Amino acid sequence: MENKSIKIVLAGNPNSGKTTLFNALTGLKQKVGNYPGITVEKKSANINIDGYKSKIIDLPGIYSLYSKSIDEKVAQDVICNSFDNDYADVVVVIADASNLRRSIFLLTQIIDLKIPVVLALNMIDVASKKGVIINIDQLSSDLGIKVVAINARKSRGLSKLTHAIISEKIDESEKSKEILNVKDVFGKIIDQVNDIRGVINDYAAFLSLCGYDMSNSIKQKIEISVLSKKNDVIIERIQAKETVRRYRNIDKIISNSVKNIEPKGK
Amino acid sequence: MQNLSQLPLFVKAKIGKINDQDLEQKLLEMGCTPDEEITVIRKAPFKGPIAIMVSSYMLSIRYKDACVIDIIEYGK
Repeated sequence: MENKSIKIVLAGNPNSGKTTLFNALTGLKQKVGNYPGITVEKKSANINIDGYKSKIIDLPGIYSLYSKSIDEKVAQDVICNSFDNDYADVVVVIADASNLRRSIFLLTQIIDLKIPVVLALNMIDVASKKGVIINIDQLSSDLGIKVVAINARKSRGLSKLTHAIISEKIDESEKSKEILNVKDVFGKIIDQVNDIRGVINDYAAFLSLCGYDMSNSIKQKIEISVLSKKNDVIIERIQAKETVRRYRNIDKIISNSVKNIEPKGK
Repeated sequence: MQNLSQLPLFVKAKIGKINDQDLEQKLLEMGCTPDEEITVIRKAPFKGPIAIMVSSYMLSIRYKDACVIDIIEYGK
């Protein structure tokens, strides 16, 4: 029999249920808790999904790919650095449905990097108690990715999720959806970074320009920093601008697929 | 111009400029974008942490950090 294998990375905001999902998928008992910051290093386990030898990698929670601390950098490296041992075939972003706006930020960055990704919507029960109703099909078509509702704590929706992951792995089609076009915002400097990197991936070029690793060689890093100096790029400024623009697009998506109704009772 | 530490409890305001670049980036990516509605819902005594509500979730920040967040009160 053919030896099929897949690397699945679990990413998401702190306290969104990544480790709970990890435990539910693998049957392990990693420490979980009801506060952020418990997982500070990556953990992995091997299981079998539909005949695939699957390595599941649990990451510390992050709000974005702009890493600042060491645990955030661990997570960013696994997602962005194709030389990393645990570089994913498919990333699963776990989102707290009751904090969708904030959760989706990281997801849209990963979508724009053209990395295969599936959204697992966790804690929908909490969201509906708060009066937040999410139209999953609409969200899925606006984001251009598969969205699966799960309940990690009660192990619901897991087989749907693993099917979505495997079909994402098999699907070789080019990812075309873009949430924020950085070339529209920052212009031709993105193309220049693409030239240096020898790959056309606008968002990876943008993150390289911000000084993140992005599997760039030392020579490429130097060329990028020279280019950035020549164009008077201030990293903090372009990052802040990118974040604000990205949230504007996210707000459009959210208003399209999320309804807020008055919570019942109380 | 008022900053967040001066905003009374449960009064709605909009986020203005954040006068600290590191903090700005951190808050931005958590969804505290300009013009978002913000409310202070708890204050610890003696310049302790402040709990704020922003885009429907609660966040606690240092008093010192609240001082560098400009806000625009509604109706002013």
